[in-house]
Formats: sequence, C-alpha cells, structure tokens
Amino acid sequence: MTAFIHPAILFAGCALIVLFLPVRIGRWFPPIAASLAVYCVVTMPEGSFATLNYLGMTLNLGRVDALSLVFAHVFAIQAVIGFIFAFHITDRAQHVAALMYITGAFGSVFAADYPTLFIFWELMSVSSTFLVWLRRAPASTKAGFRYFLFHTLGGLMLLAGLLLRFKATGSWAFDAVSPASAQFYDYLIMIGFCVNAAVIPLHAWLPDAYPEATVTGAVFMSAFTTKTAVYVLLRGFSGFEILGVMGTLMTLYGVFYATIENDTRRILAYHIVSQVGYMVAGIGIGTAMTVNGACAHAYAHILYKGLLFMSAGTLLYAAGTSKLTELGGLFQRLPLVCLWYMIAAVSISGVPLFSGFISKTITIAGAAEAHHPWLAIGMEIAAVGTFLSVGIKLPYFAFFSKQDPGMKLAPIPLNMHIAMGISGFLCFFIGIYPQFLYNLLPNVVEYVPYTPWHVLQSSILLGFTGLGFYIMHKKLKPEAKLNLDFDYIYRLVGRMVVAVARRPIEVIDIWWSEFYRIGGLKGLLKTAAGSAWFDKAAIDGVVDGSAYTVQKIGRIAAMTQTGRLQDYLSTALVVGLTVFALIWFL
Amino acid sequence: MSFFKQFTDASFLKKAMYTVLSVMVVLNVMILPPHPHFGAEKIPGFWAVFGVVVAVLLARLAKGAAHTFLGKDLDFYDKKNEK
Repeated sequence: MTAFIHPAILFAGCALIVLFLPVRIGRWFPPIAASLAVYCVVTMPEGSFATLNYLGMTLNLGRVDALSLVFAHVFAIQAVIGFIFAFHITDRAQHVAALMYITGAFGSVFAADYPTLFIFWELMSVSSTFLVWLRRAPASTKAGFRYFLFHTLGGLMLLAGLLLRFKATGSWAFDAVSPASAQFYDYLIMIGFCVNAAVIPLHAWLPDAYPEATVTGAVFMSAFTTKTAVYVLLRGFSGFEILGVMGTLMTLYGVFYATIENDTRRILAYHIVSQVGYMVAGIGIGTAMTVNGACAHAYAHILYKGLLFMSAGTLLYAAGTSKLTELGGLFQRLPLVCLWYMIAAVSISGVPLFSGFISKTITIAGAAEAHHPWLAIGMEIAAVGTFLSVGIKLPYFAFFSKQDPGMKLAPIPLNMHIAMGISGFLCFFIGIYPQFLYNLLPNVVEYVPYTPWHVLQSSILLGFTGLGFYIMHKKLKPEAKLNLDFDYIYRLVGRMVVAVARRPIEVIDIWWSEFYRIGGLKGLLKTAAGSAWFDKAAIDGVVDGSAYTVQKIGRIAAMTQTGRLQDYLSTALVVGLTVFALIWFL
Repeated sequence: MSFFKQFTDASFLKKAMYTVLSVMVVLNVMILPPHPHFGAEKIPGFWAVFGVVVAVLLARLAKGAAHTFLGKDLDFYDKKNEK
C-alpha cells in the first residue's frame, strides 16, 4: 500500500514536538522523522497530490515525478545523516531551525505552482539565516544579516517575476519555460533562482555565510539551498544557453578562490560554487544526457559535500579553529576524521570507485557530445583545480604537513563519527554501484562510467595534478588573508543606498525641527494651557484608573520590542503562518 | 610501526609517485579514447600534460592575484565600517 505523505509535514510536525519537549528527549525525534521521510519518498507513487483551493488560487503541493523524486530521495537521506551528526546538540533552537529549513526544501521540491514554491522558498531563507546566527558569534551575526539581505533580494526578484507572470499569462503553474519564448518576467524568476544557486556574480553570500554558520548548520546548508535551486532551474529553465556558460564559469571561479583561501570551510564553500557550476552547466546545455548529469551530480554532491562539511566541521569542533594556518599534522591524533575527509575528497575529485567519478563525467561527456568542447575543457580544468585544492592542498596542510601545533582537542561525540561513516559508505557504494543512482534519474542513462579509457583518463588527469601540486607546494602555502570577492561590490552598493537614503531624510528632519521650533512650540504652549485647565476641572477623576491599565499594556508591549532582528523575524514568521492558517480554516 | 614508516618516507613516496605516473602514461599509448571529444585527446599523454600545466598555472595565477589585488588584511571590512 502506498500513499502520498508530504515529507514536509513530518519535519514541520517534528519541529513542533522538539519545540515543546525537553531537548534531551526531543533530539531523538529529528533522526526518526528523517528516517520516516526516507520511507515516504521510497514508497511514494508518482502523480499529482495535495491540491487545495486557497484564496481563489488552486495550489498543488505534491507534484511527484522522476525529477522531484531524485532530489527528495537524497534530501531525505542527507536529513537522516545531518540529524545524526547534530544529535549531541542541546540547543533546541538549532534543531527547530534545521527542521523548518528542511520543511522548506521538501515543500519547494514538490511545489507545482509559484505561490507554494515562494512560501517554502522564503521559509528556507529565514530558517537558514538562523542556522548562521545560532553560532552566536559576532562574525556570524554580521554574516547572517548579509546572508538574509541578499536572499531577500533574490526572493523579491522571484516574487516580482511570478506576479508579473500571473498578470501576463493568468497562470500560477510552475512549468518548463522554452528559451525561445522566455519573457522578461521569466528572466526575473530565473535570476531569483540563480541567487540561491550561487551563480556568479550573485554567489558571494555563500562563501561569506557558510563558514560562519554553526558546525552542524553548515552541513545542512551545504545540502539544501543550492540544490533546491538546481532543482527549480532544472524544472523551469533547462536548455537556456546562458546557464551553460555561467555554469562553466562557476566551476572555474570556485576552484580559483579555493586555491588561495585559508579557512577550510570557506574553501569548501567555494567548492560548492564550483560543483553547482557543473549542474548549472548541465541544465544550460539541456540535452537528456546533461540533465541526467546535473541530477546525478546533485545527488552525489549532496552526500560528499555533506561529508566534507562534517569532517571540516569536526576539525573546527575539536581543534577550535578552521584555519589552515593554525592547523597541521593532525593525522596522528584524528586519523578517523582524516579518513572520512579523504573519502569525501576523492569523491568530489572524481577518483574512480567513488561517487564523483560516476556523476561528474556524465556532464562533461554530455557537454562534449552536444558540441560544446570549450565548456567541456573548462570543466576539465575545474576538475584539476578541485583535486588540487580540496583533494590535496586542504588535507596536506590540515593533516600531514608540519608539526602538530599541539592544541588541546575536544573529544568528538560518537554520533558525529556514525553520521560520517554512513556518508562515507554511501560515497563509496554509489561509486562502485552506479546503477543505484542511474535508476533514479529522469532520463534513460546510456553512459557507462567504467570503461578502460574513462578510468585511465581520470587517473592520469588526477595523478598529474598531484605532480603539479608537488612542484608548487611551497607556493601554495596558505596565508591568513582576506580575499576580495563580489561581496565587496555588494557592500559598496549597500553603502551607496544608505548614503542616498540618508540625504533626503536629513533634509526633511532639519526642515521639520525648524518648523516645529518656530510654529509648533508656541501653538502647543497655548493649547497646553487650555487643556491643563480642562484636565484639572473635569477629567482627573475619571481617567486615573485607565492610565494604569495603559501603563501595564505598554510595559508588556515594550518587552516584545527587543530591537533584535532575529526576534522580529521569528515573530513575523509565527504571525504569518498563523494568519495563513486562519484564512485557510475560516 | 617501522613497516608503516617506510611508506611515509619522502624518498620512497617520490619514487612511488614517479613510477605510477610513468606506468599510466605507458598505458595511455595503448589505450586511446574510442570516441575522442577533441583531436588532441588522441595524442598519448595529452591529459598528463594538461593536468600538470593547469595545476601549475592555476596555482601561479591564483596566488599571483592573491598577492597583488585580491588579498587584504583580515580586518579589511571592519576598518572600512569604522570610517
């Protein structure tokens, strides 16, 4: 017996449970909910479910087909792994934020219309901001603000696009757009999606915020935000040539920065830009083979990138720093963490027998077969850069080179190792048994990864990249520097907006104070004299009681005015959800 | 432990690396792509040269950029804000 149960319900329900139970008990529920979600997705029938009428719109929350299933499949598995990894955390808010974030991801994947997509999209954006803030460090607060501002911008693009689209076509449906007939509003929607997919030059929020997120928050964020964006781009904008070019540029841009960055998690964040580039390129080329490549790579990427963020996060958790300049020689003391990291590193680099090898090469071969040799060459260059920076440079400077600085290491909870073990096993399993993944893909796969030539070509390419590192390893020594990226420009624009906005406000303010000083005060004094007489004569007795009441209400209201954006944001979310629910029930 | 030690010895590792790399290039003479994506792929050793050249160039270019116009002090943005 199979039925459609929306996994978002499981996660949202679990968030409610975690909210009210003591956290010692409550933390058992997220991994259980995620396991149930795996079961739901595996047994899910294809079709259209959960259609409802809301404010005169027909919404469809459950579009289940091969494309949404492959993403839901890996989302559910990664949710299980992520919640096992986060099991030791006693901060209730972190569990709730992660649960709501995953609710948003599942809602977006199954949404068949733009309003539904938009609501879940924004839910993701708000709750992921909390995953940054909840690290509770000054740098995280600032990075979280920037992250939220930028995602609001992307969300507004999406909103503007979908409203204009409705005005022009009268339809809310979220379906594929043909590149030949794409309108202005379609491009607005695409840009909104591209913000979340970290397409350059809209990507700088990612390497800015992810390294500042909590150890476990970054694991969740690395899996869901960019890959939901890949999914919606696949759904809506497959075959847009511009995406093919931008995707290839992303692959190169990411590895370029990863080569010079110092913070391990920032290196990995730039590699998200690079790896998502392969997917965006596959979407842009838009043949059956590259679309398969994009899906397969998203699947494999979620697993190995999660493992990379988990092992780098464990380093940060144990050693208290994620900077390569402060780490070194940790292989002796953290051999298991090193093993997990290396499994993920060879997977992302595309070493035969591991998951990246069977997914990345589909897109590259597909690009070449679709007569885009330059895009294929670009992606091969990025493959070299990937192995150079994540496969060799990072582990060399964190685990092998120089003396152990002898820092005190915090003990690593067992659940972290279990999560990394599951992840590592899956990276290897998919690598040796690619049919498991290929059977999930939306198109028939004719690609055979394990031919003598493919294996040899990958081995030669990676082996000689190693030689390149050996030649350059002195030059590649990490440095404690900040590297400018496009967020420099975002900040300049932000400062300009503030400056422009301030000028008229300043002028009005000066003018108003002057007017008030001359005209207002005298008038007020006269009125005051009059009302004071009236007050004494008539009102005193009546009003005293109500004044106390007002004072009390004022004090309660003042307590909600904390002046902290995170409080306002969570209140707004709760109020918003309540209002939506009320409209729905009444 | 000494058994393990010889494998982490630098000169041993270097020899091993060169042996593996040369074996792969020799194999490349015999195994060539059945459907080459571009003409150059048919030349044995093309991907070997590609790998080394790209790795070295990428390291030089990226580090060069970091040392000239991209790299700033860690408190670069904080200083800007104070102004």
